Amino acid sequence: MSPEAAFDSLAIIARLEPTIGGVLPSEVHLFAYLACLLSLYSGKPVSDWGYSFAGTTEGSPFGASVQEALTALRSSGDLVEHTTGLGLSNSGRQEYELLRDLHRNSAREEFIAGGCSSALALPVPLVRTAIQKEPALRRVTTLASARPLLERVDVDALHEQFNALASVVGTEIRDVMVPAIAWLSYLVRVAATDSRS
Amino acid sequence: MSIDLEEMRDLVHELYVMMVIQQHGSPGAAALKELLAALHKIYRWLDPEAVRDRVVVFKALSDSDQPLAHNKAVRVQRPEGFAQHEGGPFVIQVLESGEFLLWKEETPDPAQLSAVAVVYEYSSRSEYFFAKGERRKAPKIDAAYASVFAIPAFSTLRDALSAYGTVMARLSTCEILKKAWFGDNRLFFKAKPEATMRRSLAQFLASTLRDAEVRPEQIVDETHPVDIKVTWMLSNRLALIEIKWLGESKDETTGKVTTSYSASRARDGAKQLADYLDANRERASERRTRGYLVVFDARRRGLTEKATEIVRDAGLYYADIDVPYDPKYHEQRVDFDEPVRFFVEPKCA
Repeated sequence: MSPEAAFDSLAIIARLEPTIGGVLPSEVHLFAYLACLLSLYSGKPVSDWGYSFAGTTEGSPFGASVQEALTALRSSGDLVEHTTGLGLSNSGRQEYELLRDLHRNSAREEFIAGGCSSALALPVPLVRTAIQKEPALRRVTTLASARPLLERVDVDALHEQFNALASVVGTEIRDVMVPAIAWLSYLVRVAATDSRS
Repeated sequence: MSIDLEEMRDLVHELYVMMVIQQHGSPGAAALKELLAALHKIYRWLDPEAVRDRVVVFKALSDSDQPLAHNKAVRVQRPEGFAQHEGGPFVIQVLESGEFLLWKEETPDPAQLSAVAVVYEYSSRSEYFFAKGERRKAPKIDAAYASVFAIPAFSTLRDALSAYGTVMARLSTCEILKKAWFGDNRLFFKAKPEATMRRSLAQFLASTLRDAEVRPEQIVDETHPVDIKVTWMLSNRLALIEIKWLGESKDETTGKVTTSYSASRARDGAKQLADYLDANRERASERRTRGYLVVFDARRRGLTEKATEIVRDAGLYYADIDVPYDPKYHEQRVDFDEPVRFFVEPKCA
């Protein structure tokens, strides 16, 4: 099991559960991908993230390592199934708090927190709608076939968007919640325009 | 796709998140996150539309700041506690402990409060954030909901359709659906209102269905697109939604009735959907597909072409009269859900 994917899964559920109740597996994949994109925004290479994503034919991000981690965390009892989705058990919460303090996870936590904060400002289904309009997933939906995400061509297109975003938001703002919400809000508008055309 | 810098600049300028950070810095960002999380919790128990006057919720940058006297407030330990409170206006302080302080009948100036706090104000279906006297409006994502922080999320399509029928369609509160009508009294649709209905429902589903992708007008066979296709993430479940409408439509220019559909139109829709499901079974055999027939019912009793208003008995005559289906695909097939009828009310004289 990928330790990064395990930590991300615990962190995302810990942060989303108080706002939206139980967290669905597809929402864990979505916010893990958003966190990965925010690390890219902050200048980190994709390879630093520790695991990769693919785009499904429905235009949804999917991390095989995340899926594997969710299965393992359910088996170990760190995650519990509520009627509305997944939640942390007591042992899961302890595990998350332990892992969060490790140096290697502190940077990940920043991006996960930034991504999950967007769910405070926008309904989660709209976060999904917005993410489907980012360049990598947009290419998947255009081609209508599952394929790996964040290949060279995707990263170049994302950097172009992120440079524009940073020029407007300003690089002095350290909290990635701000560019996250600004970018997602912009993509929501793009989605609305696309649906009208 | 390149970003339109001008549009992005305007959008960022309007963002309350940006304003809070510019005015209060990092402590403001932390306070804003706590405030937003609290709004979600509060609105699970307090319906903003049921509040008289306004709701003000604030998170002080530090709990030691007391912009309002604590001794006049009621302490609410858990958000469930707000269910007991009615009326308004309400002023609520979010505390670091996770508890709340509630003032009733107080009317502080949010701009003044925001000198040492991040402040949220709800008033007449509009929402604002304040920081150091600056004010930004929260974007209205769905006009049918009073607050962006009170938009529900549904796990099942049936629940989402039911909510759409009650909240959006019945009184045509959806801004998109409003455009389908010929005249304010909602007696006749405009000619060919299907596309407007499809856009309205697809937008609602896209913003409220938690685990699904919603796409309007998807091809299921060589000649026909189904109105809306819903695909669930990480599963092989798929829903096809066919939309039909009943009632009469008018040409916008001439004011003449262009189409008149009775209950048989819904039955035609059921047959059409059954055919789509058969076609889709061949195209997407790996998917577990379910069909949903959605009927916008705007039948009015005794409506004449020249009518501009309608009395209540005639306007609501069909409100509780369901369409009789024959055959009843929803009883004969496991992939056909029970048809959903949205009765869309007229404004009655």
